[in-house]
Amino acid sequence: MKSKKGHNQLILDKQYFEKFFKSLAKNYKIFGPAEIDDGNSLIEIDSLDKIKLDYRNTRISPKGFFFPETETLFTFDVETKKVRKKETEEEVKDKNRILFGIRPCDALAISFLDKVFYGNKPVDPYYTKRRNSTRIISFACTNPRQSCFCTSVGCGPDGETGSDIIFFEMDGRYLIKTLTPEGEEILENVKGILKVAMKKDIEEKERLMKKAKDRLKKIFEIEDLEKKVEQIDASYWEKLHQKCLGCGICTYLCPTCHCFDITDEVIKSYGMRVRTWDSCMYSLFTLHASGHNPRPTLKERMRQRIMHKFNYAPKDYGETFCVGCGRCIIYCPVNMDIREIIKEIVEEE
Amino acid sequence: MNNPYIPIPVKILDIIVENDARDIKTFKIAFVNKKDEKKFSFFPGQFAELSILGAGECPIGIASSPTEEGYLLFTVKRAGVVTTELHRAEIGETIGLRGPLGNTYPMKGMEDKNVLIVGGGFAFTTLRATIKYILDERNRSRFKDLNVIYGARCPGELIYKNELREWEDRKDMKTFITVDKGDKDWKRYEGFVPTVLKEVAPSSKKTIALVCGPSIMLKFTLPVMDELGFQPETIFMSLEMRMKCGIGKCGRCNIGHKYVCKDGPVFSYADLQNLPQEY
Repeated sequence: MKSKKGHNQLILDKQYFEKFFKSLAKNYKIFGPAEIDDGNSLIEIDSLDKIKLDYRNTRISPKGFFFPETETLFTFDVETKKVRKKETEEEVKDKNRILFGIRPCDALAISFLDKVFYGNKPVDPYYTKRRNSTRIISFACTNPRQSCFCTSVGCGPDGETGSDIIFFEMDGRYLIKTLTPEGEEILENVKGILKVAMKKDIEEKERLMKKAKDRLKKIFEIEDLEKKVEQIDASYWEKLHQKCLGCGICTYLCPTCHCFDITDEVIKSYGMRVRTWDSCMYSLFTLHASGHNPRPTLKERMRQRIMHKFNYAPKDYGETFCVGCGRCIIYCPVNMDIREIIKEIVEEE
Repeated sequence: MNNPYIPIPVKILDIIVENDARDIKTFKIAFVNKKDEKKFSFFPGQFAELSILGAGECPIGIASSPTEEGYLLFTVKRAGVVTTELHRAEIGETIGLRGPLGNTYPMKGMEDKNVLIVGGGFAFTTLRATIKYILDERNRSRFKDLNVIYGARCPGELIYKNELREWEDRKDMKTFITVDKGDKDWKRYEGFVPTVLKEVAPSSKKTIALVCGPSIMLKFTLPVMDELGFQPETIFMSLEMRMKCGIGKCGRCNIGHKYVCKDGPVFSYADLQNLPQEY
């Protein structure tokens, strides 16, 4: 995992950034943050003037690059009742992509989705195909938002899990840290414009990260969260769900939420089996055909969402399925704040 | 890469209407391709997603035993979009299947033990598979006493009627059949399943019980099981939940951190006591 004579921390002078980017673009399709309408989104960057690297986080998480909002699992002919397998394979066609400049919290979330979709057998072929053809270059956060709480849930502005390479923006240059052999491979063609990072570069990076971390003080300890959320009195859920509208925006924007629905769509004799994002906050999510609903009210659904992140996922995957990105806090129409919920639970005597 | 979302083609060989209301049908199906049949290895308790292209998929317990070779049985009550479409299907039609999915009844753990089977309504399907498995001459000697208690609302709602009669005549098992309310020709038990269970009072000694039925039946049956001395570790239940993927990813059939599609559908009563009452 070492490059340039065994060093994995390199320096890219900003004057060479365009060269660097163009060289990458020869072999990869690059997606990065850009300002679209009133928010930031990840879009295909075919020319450098589109990219906006000093962005706060995007509204929509990058999970859709691997697990799209809607995707066709396969198509079929309604008359002959035959699956058209060939098209199925063509559906997932994106080759060699780079997600450039996503935040470390979102990269960590992707590593969690990896556990669900291919760590957990049988592997999901659609997710896996996209994941295997995508490299992740994340950008460390130097300017976190007020809603960010990554350091409280085991991530951080310079979190490395999930990324192949991480960039640190510094005065006039970037410090680039390669994290995987795949990351190494990406830099293979641009070695000429990179320098080995010196002690002073690394010290400057550490200072920058310390500044960011100081703004992200831990607001709670999650060590006992898994146990405490299970033990909390039932009346807590009774109270918690009262102001929730059940709109599901928290689950759609969450970079780790991955529940989905599978439905059939038919136009004349052309049929598609489609997978779409779904949300545990909806009553139909668990409604049986008999009319029975095991999670009949928002109380059970809210409990499910919180328990899934902080108790079930730790049990099943060994991870707390929250990376502290704060999207659910910013966009909740009734100002539910997941930080307050966790705080209440861990501080409960 | 093997794609677990693509249904395997199967052909409907026969359709049996099980009840007077005509909303429960048993579909006898066979694999279109021999190689799919070879790969489909299962045990009683497992289920499959039946797939109608254009309508969707629905998880249904496998009602036949692996000892019944050459075909599979699925008993389906008409309830939602997919089951309604399935009920419209005709003999000879091709449908899809994904499976086998889920875990099985503890077939190994039941060996050298008495087996008590308690079923209600149309939730008797995987229990039928278990009974057929035990009764198979290659297997019967590996299990001790077999007691079956089965109930339905009325005589016309009992499923597998011919087999029930066969089982009543057999010497190597005891079958107790009840209906909530009988008609003038009814000569078997009358009353709810838990009441009959109490009356029959099968021994809990060295016995594994498999219980499957509507939640109201479970609610009143479990206390009787307790009175009879059954430990929660010896009672196994099969649950149903709304499902989509069937492979532990889509996130809707969980009870606590257990997925009914993957960790279930069979759970011991002891397991269930550690999970939230969301089923």
